[in-house]
Amino acid sequence: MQAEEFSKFNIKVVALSKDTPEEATIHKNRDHLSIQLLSDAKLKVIRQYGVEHHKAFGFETDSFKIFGVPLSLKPSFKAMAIPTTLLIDEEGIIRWIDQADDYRLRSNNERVMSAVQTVFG
Amino acid sequence: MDLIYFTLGLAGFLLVMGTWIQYLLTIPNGAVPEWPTGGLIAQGAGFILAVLSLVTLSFDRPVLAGISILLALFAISMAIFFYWLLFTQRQTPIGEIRVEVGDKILPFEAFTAEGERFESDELLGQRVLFKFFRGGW
Repeated sequence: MQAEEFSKFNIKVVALSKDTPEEATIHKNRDHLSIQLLSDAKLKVIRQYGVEHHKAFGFETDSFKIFGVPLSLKPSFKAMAIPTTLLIDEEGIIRWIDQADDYRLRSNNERVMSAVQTVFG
Repeated sequence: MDLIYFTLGLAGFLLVMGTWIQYLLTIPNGAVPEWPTGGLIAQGAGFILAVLSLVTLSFDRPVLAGISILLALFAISMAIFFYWLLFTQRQTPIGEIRVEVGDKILPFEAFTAEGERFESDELLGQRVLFKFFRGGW
């Protein structure tokens, strides 16, 4: 999800995960992200908001490199965030929440854009 | 007879790995299917072919038999992995969220990708799409 799609609604896109700042930088550069990434390595914010997936199956970032490109091939169980999207207005009020009950699926673009239209349109 | 078990093992391997690759390719585009029926059928078929390869195995040609065993075992384990992932791992505990629509955001602190301190106050005065995600991988 790139920031350009949201700029016409004056929406800043911020994404938080348990990645360290270093991992976030790697991710940002690798996927050419223009959104702001936040690091919550100790899961303080994730737990504060109650969006922790306690035992999620995932792959280690940066565990394996081919020609300098980090790939994630080492499987592990760890705590991480449940994919969750919030729309927040200028006053800091939450106007929309979307959570994935299936961790494979992300908030899909259509659903997010239609919520954006409803909330900010 | 040699060729039959080898062909079965190879076909099972290709079917299972082909489905895996196709499935993984949907992730970067955000096009993961809600329920991959075709993928599950293909994985199941690959699993059966691999099992048949092991059942019809003969050791007249040890090298060919060895390769077939490897292909078949790999196909079987990757197919089981696919089913395990889909049937036991996908549910997330979504009932625990502490905010709801209409609430003010809970003040928090984090770090930016550049390693600088970030406070949630910086979000005020602008519209924000805030995303919790699993991290880059």
